[in-house]
Amino acid sequence: MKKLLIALVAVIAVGAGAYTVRLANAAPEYTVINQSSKASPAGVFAQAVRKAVDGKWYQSSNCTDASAKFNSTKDAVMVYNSSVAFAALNKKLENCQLDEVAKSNAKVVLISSSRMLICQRADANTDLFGDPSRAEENLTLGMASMYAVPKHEAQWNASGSAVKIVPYSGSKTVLQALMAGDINWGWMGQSLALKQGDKLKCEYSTDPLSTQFLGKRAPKLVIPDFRINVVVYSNTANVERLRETLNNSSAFQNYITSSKNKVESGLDAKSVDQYVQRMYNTWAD
Amino acid sequence: MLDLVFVSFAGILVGMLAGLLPALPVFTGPLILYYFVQDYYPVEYLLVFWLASYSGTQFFGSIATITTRIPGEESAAIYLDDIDNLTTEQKRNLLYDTALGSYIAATLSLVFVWIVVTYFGIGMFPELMSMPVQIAVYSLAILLFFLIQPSKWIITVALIATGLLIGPRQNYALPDVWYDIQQLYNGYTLYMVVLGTIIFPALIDPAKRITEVERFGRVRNRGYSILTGLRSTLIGAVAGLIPGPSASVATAFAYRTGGDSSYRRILNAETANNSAVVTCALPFFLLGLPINQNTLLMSNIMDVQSLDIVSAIQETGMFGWTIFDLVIAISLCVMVIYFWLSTHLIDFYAGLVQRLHHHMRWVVALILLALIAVDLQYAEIGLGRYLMLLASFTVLGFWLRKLKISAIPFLFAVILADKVIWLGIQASAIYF
Repeated sequence: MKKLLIALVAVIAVGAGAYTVRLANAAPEYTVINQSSKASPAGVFAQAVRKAVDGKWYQSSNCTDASAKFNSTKDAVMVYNSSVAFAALNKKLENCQLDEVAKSNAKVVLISSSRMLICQRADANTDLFGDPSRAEENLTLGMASMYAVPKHEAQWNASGSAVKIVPYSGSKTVLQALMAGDINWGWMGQSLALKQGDKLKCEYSTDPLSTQFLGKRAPKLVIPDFRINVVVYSNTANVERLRETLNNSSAFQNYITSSKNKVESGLDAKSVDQYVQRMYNTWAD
Repeated sequence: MLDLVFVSFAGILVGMLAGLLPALPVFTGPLILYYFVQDYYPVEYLLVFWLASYSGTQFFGSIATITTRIPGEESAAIYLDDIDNLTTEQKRNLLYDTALGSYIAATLSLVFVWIVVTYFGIGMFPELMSMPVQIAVYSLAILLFFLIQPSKWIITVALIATGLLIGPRQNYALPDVWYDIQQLYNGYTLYMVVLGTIIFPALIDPAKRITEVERFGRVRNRGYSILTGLRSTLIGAVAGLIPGPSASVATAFAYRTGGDSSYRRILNAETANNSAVVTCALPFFLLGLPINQNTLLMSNIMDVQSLDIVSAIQETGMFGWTIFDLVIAISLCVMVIYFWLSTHLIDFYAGLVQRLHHHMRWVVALILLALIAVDLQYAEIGLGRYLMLLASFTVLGFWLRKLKISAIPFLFAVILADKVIWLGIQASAIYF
């Protein structure tokens, strides 16, 4: 009887030990918070993160809401978008910048960049930097509304392009307008533009490493190296583990490749914040 | 493939119930789709379910009306008094003839929609999505809302203006004051607007009690006139393109072509509305433009899925067919099934209506609560804000109902606001 009891206690102890070890090793349940629109490229990025970490999803109504959720949730993963941060600065919304990372003792998991291409329809033949005196051409360039501001247009004009900037809700609507013939040129996400194959001629890029870099042709543009940064940061205790999960997820890595995002090892939260501030100083009224 | 068959039958079941039971609105199908929409189902599943459930309401709405005098859907209400003029034998023939008329109308309209979208669609004419065309189409759509309640045009203007004011979403190109107003309503969902302005106010209507239901047995043909059927189909097809309650407009037009015969009036009306519920989807497939509650809900579902319906239906699906070809082919098969179902088991349907009708209000209330829970889960706002916004739309809905004013122009303005405002901003940037 005594032996039986000892055996029973031993089994329970081993079981409890194994359970504790398992609990300690179990991946935390992450909550991925998306501060961009669900349909935007950054929203799709956030979905890819959620799938990779098999976490819960929180779609915030704005960045203030996202920040509140982040601060009140354990193992929260924020997907920040530099364009949303820039728009928030313009509209004087609070808690939308990357200084929130330091305030909440969170850690950056990864930073990615994506670039824009400036394209016209394959059957079109306009010159974006043609003779400015030929104003009758009424050259138009569609781009996301937050950048389609008078100061930006003035910088294009100063660079020798008589272009008129037309605001759109995002790259998809720019593409639609371009194909329908409403505008001559479209400023759109690299991934979306390249998917159109030979329907488009993309003559300029905001990637400084590209041979078609916009800055070469338009030196007076203040931000020819435009990029959208997505910053993933988290308040989880073990950020290394989260980073490893993303690195080891083939689905996530495939997404990064296919969406033409580039993981930036040389950037930190501070430099992204400074970049957003630069956009604000350059384009805001 | 098996999945699509299952989806089709699910759509048929929902269409039957929504047609037979007046408490379930004709847009029950898309409302149910809201539950599934976050999981990114293939677009062909959504469209097959939608077309099947919507068409079913018209096939089975007439069965409920003719057998029990309870209009299964609103467009059937026009001929309620005519039913009293018919003998049981005539009703038996009418049940068969309306099923046949509905089948012919729905099939021909599906073929018509397929031809137009395939040969005149965006793939052939990308200019269809150009700004001048869109401005013309949207302006016409907004003008046609005034036909819904011509005597109350000032109220219609006010409703459209309110919808346009609060409707845009995160539009950074708006002036600051407008942006702030838009922020006040930030986070509303279309389901919330439909619930508050249309469904909740409609739930308070008292249910009519059914005392006795005739036995019909087997229904049969009395000699259906193909020519009259084609005429009603044409009327329905044209009326279907008018924004607003297109099925009711089609019913009203075709009803008048029946002369003094109650039988003909009902038959023509029931043929035309089947045609209208199919052609009302044409602007949606061709231009992404929703023109009634049903297409409006589907348009929102496409937005949630980040799908552009115009290009999504042109992508290649099963068997190497385009999604659109597949959806139309399956829908044609669904119509055959509907024809069989609506000419058999009539007494079963009538009994079902009699048994369930009084209890449906509570069933519907429970379904709505469940759908609110789902909507809330995916909304971009918390419970408190959700309830506050829902309450404000509900107050508006009850107030409009009290004044006998249709909430449709408001609903449309809210959903079209984003597109219309963007068009305005872009047109001013390009042309001025």
